[in-house]
Amino acid sequence: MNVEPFMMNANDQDAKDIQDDREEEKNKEDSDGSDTNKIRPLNILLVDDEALTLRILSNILRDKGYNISTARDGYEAVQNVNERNFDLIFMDIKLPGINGVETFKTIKKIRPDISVIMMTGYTFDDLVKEALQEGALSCLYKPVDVSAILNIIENHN
Amino acid sequence: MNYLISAISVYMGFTLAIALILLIKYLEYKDKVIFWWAVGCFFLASHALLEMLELWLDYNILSFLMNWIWALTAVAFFQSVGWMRRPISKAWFQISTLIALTALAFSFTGVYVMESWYMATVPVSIINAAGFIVCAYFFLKMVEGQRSISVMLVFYGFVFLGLHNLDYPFARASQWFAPYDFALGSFISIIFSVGLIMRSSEEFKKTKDKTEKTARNFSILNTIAVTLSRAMSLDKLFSSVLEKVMEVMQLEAGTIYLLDENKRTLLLHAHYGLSEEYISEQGEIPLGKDIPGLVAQSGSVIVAEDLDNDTRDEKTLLKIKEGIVSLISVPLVSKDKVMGVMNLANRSIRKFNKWDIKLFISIGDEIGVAIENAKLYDAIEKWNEELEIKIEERTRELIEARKAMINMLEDSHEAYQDMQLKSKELKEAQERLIQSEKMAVVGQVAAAVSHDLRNPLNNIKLQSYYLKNKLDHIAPELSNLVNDIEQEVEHANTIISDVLEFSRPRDPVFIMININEIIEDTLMWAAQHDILSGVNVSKNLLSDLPSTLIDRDQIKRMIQNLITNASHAMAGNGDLIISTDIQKNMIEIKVADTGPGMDEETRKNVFTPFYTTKSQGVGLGLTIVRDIIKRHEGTIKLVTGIGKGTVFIISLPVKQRKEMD
Repeated sequence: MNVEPFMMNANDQDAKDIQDDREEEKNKEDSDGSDTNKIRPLNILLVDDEALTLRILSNILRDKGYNISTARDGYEAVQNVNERNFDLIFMDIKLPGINGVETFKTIKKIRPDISVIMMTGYTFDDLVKEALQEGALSCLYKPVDVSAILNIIENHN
Repeated sequence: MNYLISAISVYMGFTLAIALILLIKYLEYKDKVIFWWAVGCFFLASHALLEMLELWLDYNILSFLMNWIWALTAVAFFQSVGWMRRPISKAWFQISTLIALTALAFSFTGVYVMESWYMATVPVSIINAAGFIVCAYFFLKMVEGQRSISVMLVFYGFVFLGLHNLDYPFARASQWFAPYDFALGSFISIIFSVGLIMRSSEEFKKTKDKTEKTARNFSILNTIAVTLSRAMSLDKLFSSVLEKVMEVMQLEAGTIYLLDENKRTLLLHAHYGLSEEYISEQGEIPLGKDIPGLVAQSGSVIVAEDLDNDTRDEKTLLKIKEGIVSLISVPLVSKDKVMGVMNLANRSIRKFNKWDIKLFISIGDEIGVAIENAKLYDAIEKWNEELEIKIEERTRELIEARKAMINMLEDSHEAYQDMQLKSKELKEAQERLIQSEKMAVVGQVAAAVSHDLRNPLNNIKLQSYYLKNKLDHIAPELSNLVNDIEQEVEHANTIISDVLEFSRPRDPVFIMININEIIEDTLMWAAQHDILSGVNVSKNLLSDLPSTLIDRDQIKRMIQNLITNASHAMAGNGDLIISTDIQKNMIEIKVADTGPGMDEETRKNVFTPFYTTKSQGVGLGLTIVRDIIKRHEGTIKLVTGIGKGTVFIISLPVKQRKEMD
């Protein structure tokens, strides 16, 4: 019973963080718009139902200088893809509503050139196989090795 | 006068009639007692005749003759007594003796009567005394033949003669003394008669005693025979009986033959007092040959008292070879059937009277019965033997039946054991099923939980990375602490992976690969994760190890688990030798450590799920190894012991793609 309010708070916090991130993002875009680096920073979409995961991973990757967008579920991810261009998408397989693989399939229809990397906590999963067959770039198992993520990003293009 | 003549006539007629009747009886029975009675009666009749003639003729001469008639009468009756050698009534014996003695007494009294005519006295007395002695001699010889008594009677005779002579002067002195003389003579005669009767009756008693003794001997013999017939063989019995008969009857030689009905020959079964030569020659006598053969054929006794003067056609070998003179051959009869022959013999003449013969016949009968008993006994013995054989057979059959039954029981026992085994297997299968179902549930739970656990682990790991990056700039000394966090995350993840692997093993995906590559790969992984720190690793990998179809991830996992275990066992100090080889078309992987080894208890349970000796881990590492090997149709062996280190030897079949299709 003690946990419940805390969790609520945490969720609120997560929501706020995400809001902050977006604002930050816009600001960055605005500010960096004039003096853009010679190499355009990659646009990366992170899709996970865990807000904390999104926040930490966003922090790490932003520190590395990438443009990070986040989505809490498949619908949001698709919406994001429709709105903006992404180079890479890291997507959890297990998502509320439509799962990661279905979302990937949908996104592939909209933007077939986007590289999608799946993430999962399940070691053996038919969905992993399916995703790889559908053309997912790779599959990372949780707990995810940050170096593996960075490796993939750095090797992109 | 007329009265006297008629009385004498009756006397004479009566005695003559009796004499004639006895004579006829004698001719019928050939009994010498009757004969002598008859003779005696003839003398009595002749006395009657003399009495009658006395009335007509000269008195003195006839009186003289009458003395001799009386004497002859006495002799006749003494003779009859002498032949009385069988068990007859005492009364008959006494009557005969009494008549004889009365006759004797009359012959003496006749002398006294005659003495009245004194001229004849001396010579007549002498003749009478001699007559008396002769009579006494005959009497005693016939009755017993004992010399001492004969001598005594002769002495009596002389005493009587002396009296007679003593009496003479009186007779001469006066005629008046003549009646006294007569009375004295009669008195002495009567005394003498009584004495003789008493002695005779004593002798008779002795005879009777002897008879009884013989009978008793026989009875003893019989008893012995009957007793022996149960205790010893027939031949021994015969020898024993023969010996006894020889002893009791005082004979020199004897044989017992048994009749073999099939061969129709007599077979010698016992002998006594005969030479070996005779025995070997007369071991068998054909029926009807020799005297024993004749006896066996006819079934009647043959008595030969004097073989020297024998008139028989059949000359017995006993005479020829053994010098036997007297022989009695008795059939051994039982129930009117001749069983054999007993021969009793003597080398000097031996008279066998009726009594002897009867005794021998009785003995023969007894032996016959004994033979039959023995034969019955033999038959019983034979029957017993047969019965024993039958019992043995039956027993054997029973034993065999029992064996068969035991076999059957054993079979059924085997079947039962088989059934038990099957039921055990079934039970195990059931348990496995339950276990697998349990595991399925565990798997489901584990899968759900692992995902849920992996998310926070994921966050911790990510956050650690972020934190480490930040700290590297601000406080680098703290960033190592974050490394510890990362390692713990890895550890936690390994546990989750083990549980997932164990509870919901995935189907292997076989690809052609060289195991050496996987080993290298795994060792690199180990180096990266600092698993083998402090451990001296040596590789001995077969350079031309063939590739085989295996699940790469699973085999890697297997090697990971093995080297992790080895590393933990050695606690960062020791040698790890990992080698590959090919043995009988099987790839052999050896993972050896120089750790402390395992005790028996641990060795037994090493593959048991959730069994662990470590503070860390859930005890699934080797279980997973075993399961992976099983899925690859391989085997795992474990060589270990306290202080000996541990060697895991894994054999995996070499498989080509073809086989997989």
